[in-house]
Amino acid sequence: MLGNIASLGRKVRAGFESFKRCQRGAVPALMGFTILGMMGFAGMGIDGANWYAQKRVSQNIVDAAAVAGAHAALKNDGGDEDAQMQEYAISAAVQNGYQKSNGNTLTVNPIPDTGQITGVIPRVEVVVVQNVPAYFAGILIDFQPKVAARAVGGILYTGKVCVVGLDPDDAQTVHFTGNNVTNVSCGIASNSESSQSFVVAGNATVDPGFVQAAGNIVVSGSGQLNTEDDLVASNHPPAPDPFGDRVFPDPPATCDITGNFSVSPNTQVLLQVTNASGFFKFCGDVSVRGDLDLTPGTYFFHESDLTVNSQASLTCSTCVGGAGVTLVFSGTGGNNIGDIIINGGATVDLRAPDSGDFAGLLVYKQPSNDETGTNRFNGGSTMSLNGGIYIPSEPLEYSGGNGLASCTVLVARKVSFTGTTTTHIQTNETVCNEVGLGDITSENQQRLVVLVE
Amino acid sequence: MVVKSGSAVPRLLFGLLRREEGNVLVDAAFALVVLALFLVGIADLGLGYMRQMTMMNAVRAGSQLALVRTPSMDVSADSEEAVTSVSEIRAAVLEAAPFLEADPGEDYLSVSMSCFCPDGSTTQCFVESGTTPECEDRRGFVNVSLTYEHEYILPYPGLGEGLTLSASNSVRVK
Repeated sequence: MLGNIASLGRKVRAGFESFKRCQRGAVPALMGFTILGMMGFAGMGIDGANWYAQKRVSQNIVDAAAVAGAHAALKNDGGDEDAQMQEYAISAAVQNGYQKSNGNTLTVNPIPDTGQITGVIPRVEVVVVQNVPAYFAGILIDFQPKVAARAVGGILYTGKVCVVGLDPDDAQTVHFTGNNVTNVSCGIASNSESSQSFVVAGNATVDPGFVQAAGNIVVSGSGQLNTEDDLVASNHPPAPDPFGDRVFPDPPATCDITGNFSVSPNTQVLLQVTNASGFFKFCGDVSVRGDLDLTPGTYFFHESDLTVNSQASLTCSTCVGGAGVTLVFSGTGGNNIGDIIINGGATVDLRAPDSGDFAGLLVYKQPSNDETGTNRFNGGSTMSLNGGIYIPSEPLEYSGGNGLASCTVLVARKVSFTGTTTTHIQTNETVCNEVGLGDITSENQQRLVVLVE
Repeated sequence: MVVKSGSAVPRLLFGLLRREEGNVLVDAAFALVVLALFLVGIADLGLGYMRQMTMMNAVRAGSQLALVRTPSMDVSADSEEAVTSVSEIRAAVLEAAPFLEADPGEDYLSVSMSCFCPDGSTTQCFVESGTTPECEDRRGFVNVSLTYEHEYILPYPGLGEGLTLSASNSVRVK
């Protein structure tokens, strides 16, 4: 019995010794362990790559949300800006794939407005935290990975706008045609959302500081828009009306000249404003065929046209040191408001006053429901207009005039540049301060929504 | 012919069955095939991820250009030379995705604009004279999307010939 047990023990020991020495199947086992390890690393790689990809998706979401949130600040319509930022940001996030489920969170933090209008101003911070799947890591560890991303949207103030077409939907709200060359040192804005909002046609050449349009910017024919290194933005938020918040006085009750007034050829007339208010009122059409010299003051053309013929002149020889003239076209509405026509070859040299109710304004046409009036400034190279021309409800046609040392701001329902001459629209700082446009032209009105962080 | 027990051929066969020389080589050969497939699969997956990342960065590049140089859209045929055209954004996307050697066409790279009312319904982006917008406070987005057919390095059984990768980004412009 004992012998059998001893024999069994020897057999077991021998088998064990043999098993220890046996190398059969070692390689598959080794490979099995190796492949298991490699699959683990591969799984980590796949999970990691997926999380990284999800991080990029999350960053896209917050970037788009921050940009949209900043649009609420740009809009500045007097509504609840913070609430608008929230709504805009969330809608953009959803547009980019954000899902408010699975424990995901999107936080919109408005940044208070400091009133600063230069440089880049951060206005809204957006943070997203999203749960992401753990395909392989989840087998080994019970955890819920999260990815987070953050972005800050803001407004970039880039430049001054000195030509604005205010119409919200008309085609060719800002239009260049003919063979003219227009040099604009500042920005041009068309607020029309038309697919032909800003158009350069014919052989016109435009060299602007920058261009923005609420609709499309189109160049056709042989037109040229020299935009190298400049900002050109279609489908851009509308530019603010630089004179939109101004309140102007009514015209005087009594007429200084009743009936039509004409200056004959080869005749010189000096028109004196004697009223203490500085107002002078025409109650009939004015035709200048000779030389009309205005003294500083505000001239109301009440339901009256002003026509300056070729070879005639309209000047203000005493407009110095901040003194200037304003031509105001008033009426009872509709098509009763007069037109202003400055024909080619006329000599016009006028400047706006630097103070008073009409500070900075050279021509102002009272808004009306008639959108078809004629406002033609075709003086060509002999026309020098320093000041603002503000015709909010009618089109404006401009051709030629003004040297480099000038200050002109054109704001009208529609603005078109025609003719064959070279036109300069400049905002020379010294001249702008002299004619009361320093505030408007120093303010950065072109605003772009940008990602700050 | 009668093969006697103990003859040379069976002995050789039995001997071969018992011999262990070269079994590592055979094992390794099988393992290496699996390993090679595994490595190529990882490379395929990595390449796919890399392209996916590149595509996401590319559409972001297009969107960021759209922010400052928002394109003119739907330009009519007689005035096609829009200044800030869609082609600039397409070029920006292609520049940021160098593995796309040429413009893959509108079906694969699209730049479009969509506009919505506050209630989320779609509306027209442009308003022409005499028409009334469907809603106030319309919001417009420029959408850049890119699709790419990523072909596998090897044809894996049951996985088809490749993956369809896509990336898109929508940025609000107004």
